Amino acid sequence: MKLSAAFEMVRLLEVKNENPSTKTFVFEHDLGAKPGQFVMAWIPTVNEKPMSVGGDEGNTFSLTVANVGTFSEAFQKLKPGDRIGVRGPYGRAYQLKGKRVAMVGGGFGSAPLRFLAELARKKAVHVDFIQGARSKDRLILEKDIQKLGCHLHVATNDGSKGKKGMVTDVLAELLKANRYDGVYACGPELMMQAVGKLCEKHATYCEISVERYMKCGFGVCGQCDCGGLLTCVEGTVVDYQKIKDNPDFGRIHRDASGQKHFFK
Amino acid sequence: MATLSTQFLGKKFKNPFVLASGFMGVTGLSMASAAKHGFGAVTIKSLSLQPRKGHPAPVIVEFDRGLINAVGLSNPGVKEGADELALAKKEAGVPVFASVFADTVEHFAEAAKAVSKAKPDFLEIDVSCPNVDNEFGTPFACDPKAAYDVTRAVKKAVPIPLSVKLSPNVPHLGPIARQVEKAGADAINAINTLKGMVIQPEARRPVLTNKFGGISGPALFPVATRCIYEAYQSAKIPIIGTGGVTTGRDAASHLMAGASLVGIGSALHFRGLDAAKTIGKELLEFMELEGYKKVQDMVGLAHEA
Repeated sequence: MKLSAAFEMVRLLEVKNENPSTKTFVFEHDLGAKPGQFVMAWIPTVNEKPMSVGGDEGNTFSLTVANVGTFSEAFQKLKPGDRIGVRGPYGRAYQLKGKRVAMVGGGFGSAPLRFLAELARKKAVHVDFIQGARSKDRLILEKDIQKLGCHLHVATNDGSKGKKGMVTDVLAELLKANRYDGVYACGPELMMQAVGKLCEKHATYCEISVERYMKCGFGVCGQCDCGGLLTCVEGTVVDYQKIKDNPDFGRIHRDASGQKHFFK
Repeated sequence: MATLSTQFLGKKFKNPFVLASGFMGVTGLSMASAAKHGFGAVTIKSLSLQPRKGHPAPVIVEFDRGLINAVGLSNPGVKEGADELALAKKEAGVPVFASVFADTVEHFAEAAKAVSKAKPDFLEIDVSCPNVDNEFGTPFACDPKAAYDVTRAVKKAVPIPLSVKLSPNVPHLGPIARQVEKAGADAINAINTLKGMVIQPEARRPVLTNKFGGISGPALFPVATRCIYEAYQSAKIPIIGTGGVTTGRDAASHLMAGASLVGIGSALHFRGLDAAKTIGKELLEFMELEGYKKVQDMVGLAHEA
């Protein structure tokens, strides 16, 4: 019997370079994940972290990992044949609506959205994919997104590629010119909040991915609470309309102890 | 018509199900959410004088008959924790249990005073966590005299009805239950988790970074039933029976062993976020079928000749 909260040790098959600091890791495992879901990934003796699933091909799944800390550094050192522990998939997936959608990925948020875009394109849904990053070398998966047949719009803060500015600047223009059945965002919380507000102004359905510090990942420990929302099971993907008035959304997150911190 | 509504230490409960400490209870609004999902009372995740990050991950995993955890008593400290308790009091609409732990008798009393400002309905003292021996030494609940001393000190420090959470990691629970009662406890919570270990064979090591952890869920259930039974034999104060309840019949078993209320935690995994509602529905069906009108009618029945 498969236990949903026990680890399975899965073998790394392949590593792909995405940009100087980001790689995609393909594992041999029938995960059965949908876009927006996450796994708890465990590198024995190092740590365990929640990671959003970047793709699921049936017999394999992938995680796109940026080198941002000690855990992701250990990830970068993995070689094909190595095994890690995974449990999941966990969390609410994106609910793809209609025939014309927009996706807004901020930084590494583009990885789970690429997975959603893949599903959308299989269903012949028109996808405007807005990707934002601090600078050109921080962009990920551009070619994969284009290969899927998405219309890619790039925004960088420093203007080194695409439009100089924010993803929301691009979305604002697109929302004026197009009617979308859904807008799907993943990225920093304040960016997603801005995306949600824009969509609300245009009466457009919007889903975002809200996460908090997680320990169990399957809805028992309560560590990932966001103002009464258990983000690991009631999220991470939520309808913007259901989260916009949450007292913690865009304001408060908590650390490993449960102490409060404010978004800047 | 049978009813789940009951009374405990003079307070009304819409049902006997208490959210066990360490489950969902990190924030006030999370406790309020648990109440909305059917819990008759909620307990905050145990608080200490200073904030604690807890043990390094992994801290909780499943095995084939339960969960094992070594979260390591992470908490934001009594100061922020008291604010969360106050929020739970305001928003949950059900009785709220504070929970504290400490390294010394004096610090237990100090922590109890700090959370009493939030005016919780009940105070639980966690003298039985099996995951922090390295820092805290043998839990207070594993020694009758230590259990007496800490209970007495907290009881003197605060006027809130006091429940002492006991440990299954002892040869005999009875003497400890008696000492806790003698020291002035108003109730006993039996039990905390059972110390165990789960190894990931492919990784050739214990899954939890802490190596050891506390077992909860179905594997703990018969151990808890036995401990409740022993506590009921040894003390007259009411018992909160906690440990592995995942069905209505499990809940009935704990009541019959001597519990007046039933703690629920791991069932949130095994039965989902609505576990208290689901188990409540099953318990009510059992009561209708077996002819019990009130929860109280079942308490201690297993002790009758």
